[in-house]
Amino acid sequence: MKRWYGTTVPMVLLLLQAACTQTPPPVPDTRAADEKAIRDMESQVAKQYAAKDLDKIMSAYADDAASLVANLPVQTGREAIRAMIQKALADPAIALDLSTAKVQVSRSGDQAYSQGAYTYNFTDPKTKRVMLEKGKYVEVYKKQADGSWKIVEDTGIPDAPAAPVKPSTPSRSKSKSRAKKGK
Amino acid sequence: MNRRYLKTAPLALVALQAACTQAPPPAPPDTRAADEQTIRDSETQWVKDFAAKDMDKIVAHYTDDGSVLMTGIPIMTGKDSIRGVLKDVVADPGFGLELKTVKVEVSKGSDLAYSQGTYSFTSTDPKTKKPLVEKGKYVEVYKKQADGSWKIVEDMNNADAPAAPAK
Repeated sequence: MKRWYGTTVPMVLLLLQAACTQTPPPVPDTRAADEKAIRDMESQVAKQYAAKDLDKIMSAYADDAASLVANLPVQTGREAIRAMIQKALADPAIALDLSTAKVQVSRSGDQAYSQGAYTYNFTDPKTKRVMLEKGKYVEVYKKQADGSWKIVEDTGIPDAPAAPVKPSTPSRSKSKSRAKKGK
Repeated sequence: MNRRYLKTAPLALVALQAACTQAPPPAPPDTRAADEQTIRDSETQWVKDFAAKDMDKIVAHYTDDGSVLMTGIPIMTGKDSIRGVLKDVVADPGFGLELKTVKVEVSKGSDLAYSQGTYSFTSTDPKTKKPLVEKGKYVEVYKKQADGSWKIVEDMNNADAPAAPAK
C-alpha cells in the first residue's frame, strides 16, 4: 500500500494540476478589439448622414435603444428613433460629424460607453439659414448575441445655442476687410 | 504496472472530479441585482445631498476624472471644475432637483453600469426672479471603485423643452 501511494500521488497531482489549469478556459479579454469596433462605428456616422442612409444609421441602434436629444422627450425604441432621424434627414443641410474622445469597455465585454464631441448642421425652420450646433455626447453600447455593438443610450448636449453658419467669403474680400481694419 | 494503475485509476478520477468541481474557483458571483440597488440608492441619496446643498457629498458621487455634460456649457471634466459649476447652481435660493431613476443596467462583470431617468430642475429666473422649472432626462455612466462603491464617470442631461415658469 505505502509503495503504491508513494509513486501514484505525484502522478495524480500532476494530472489534477493539468486538468484544473486547462478547464475552463479564461474568458478572453476583447476590450481593445471592442474599443476599435466602436470607434470604427462612430467614424462611419458622418458618411451615413451625408448619404442620408437611414437604414445604415439605424443599424447602430439596439431594438430598445433610447435617444436623449435636447428639447424633445426621451425617444425609446427603434421606431421612434427612426421617425425622428427620418424627419431630420429631410433637411437638405443636415450634417452630423462625431469626434470620438474616449471609449471604455467593461471587463466582461458586454457593455461600453463612448464620449466625444459633435457638430450638427441643420436649416433653421424660421430663418431658413443653415445653422451649426456644437456639442458633446455620450453613447452607451451593448454587445449583441452576434458580437456586434449596438447603441442603447444615445445622447447629445449642445455647448451653446446653434449659430448661423457664416457664408463663405472669398479670400480676397477677407484680406480687404482686414486691410480696412488695419487703417 | 498494469495492476497498479487499474487499482489507482478510479481513485485518481475521483480525486480529479472532486478537485475540478471545487477548483478553479467558481466564476465571481453575479452581483448585478445588488449593484443595481446600490446605484438606485445612490441616486436617491444624491437628491438629498443636493437638497442639503452639501457640495462635498454632491461631488463625492463622481470619480476623480468624472465628466459632466450640460446644455449651454462645454464639457466639464474633473471634480474641481464640476464643483465650480455645481456650486453656483446650488447657491440659487430657488434651487431644487428631483431625479426619477427609470432603469439601471449593470455589466456582467459588475465594473461598469449606467442609469437612465428623468429630472425636474427648479431655478430662479435671473430676469423675472420667479421660479423656473425645467424637465428633462439624464444618463449616468458608473464605474465600480476599488472599495466596491459606484461612482459617476459620465453625467449627462438635457431638457425636454425650454424651462417654463413654475405653476
